[in-house]
Amino acid sequence: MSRFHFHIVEDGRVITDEEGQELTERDAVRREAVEAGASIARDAFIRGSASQVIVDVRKGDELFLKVSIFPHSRGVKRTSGPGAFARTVSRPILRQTWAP
Amino acid sequence: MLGTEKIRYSFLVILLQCWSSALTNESITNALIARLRTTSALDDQDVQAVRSLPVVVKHYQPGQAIVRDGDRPAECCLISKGFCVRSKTTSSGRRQILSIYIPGEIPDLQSLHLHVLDHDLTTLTECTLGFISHVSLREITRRRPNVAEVFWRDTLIDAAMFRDWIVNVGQRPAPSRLAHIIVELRERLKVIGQVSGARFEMPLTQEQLGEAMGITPVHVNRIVKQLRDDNVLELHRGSVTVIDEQKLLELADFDGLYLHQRPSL
Repeated sequence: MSRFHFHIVEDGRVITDEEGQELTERDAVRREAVEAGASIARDAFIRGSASQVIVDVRKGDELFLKVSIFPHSRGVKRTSGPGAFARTVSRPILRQTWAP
Repeated sequence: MLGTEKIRYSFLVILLQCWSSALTNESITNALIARLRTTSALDDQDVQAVRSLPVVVKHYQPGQAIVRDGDRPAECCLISKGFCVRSKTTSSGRRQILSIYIPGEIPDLQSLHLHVLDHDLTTLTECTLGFISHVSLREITRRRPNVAEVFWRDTLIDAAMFRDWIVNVGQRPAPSRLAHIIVELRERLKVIGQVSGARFEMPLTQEQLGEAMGITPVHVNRIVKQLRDDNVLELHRGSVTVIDEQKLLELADFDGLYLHQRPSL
């Protein structure tokens, strides 16, 4: 059982988690980070209050896991058929990086 | 001579016991009467009948189960002091808090007719609970049909609150969910006189708030800080202080009709 702190970074603004949580499994940590990040990003992206959300998980002072969520824009061009148009599709991307 | 003294003494003890149990009953049922008088039309004889229900008083520690999923209770529990929650837990161990209960409420009144409990009822804080047997509740509802109607209405209001809870958890963004739960709790605490100024008790940890709102404790922490930074409210050590009433109401998207806090509603 170790104590993990889940700090949130929204466009560089840091919201610290002083309390932390006691968790046993690596998967429980990952689950908490992904769930928290995804639901915070959902609110922030809809409000337009941030364009990137990072969950920075620390075990003690050491980085344990980083989950980044950001809307990824890419151009989509449909050139044939009815309603041919060029538009931009925004799709949220979630990236996990484990500390080595 | 000694015999007469003894009889006199025991008579006095019995009299004192009756007096103190009447006093306990009165204080145990106070919040219940205040609440039922707000939501329903209750005449003096009804009040008298409710007050004279036999109540067994017990004290509970925080986080203690009162009744559990699968139990077959023979009594209902009236909260006299403290806070409780109703919850259900999935097979993978994830708990959803379904409602918060305050003094004057009988969270498991439905067990009078639904014999096996389909959820858990747990204390949040230290609690003083009054247990009223199904036998005496059944007796009062048969003797005084108006009390039966008032209790029926009470369980219907409970159901209306569940409907609102589902809408809240399913449809509002997380900060509004928290604001909504806070405003609802405040409106209910007002009825029993437990709101003083801008401050009132809300003794849920961030983990428990997460279980109530369907989000993780990390997200709850984020929202609590946002509400403080936006000068909406301060949630600290189990109590809420409202900073900006207007902002709170806007965020909470609250229409209190579903609480039916007047007999005409």
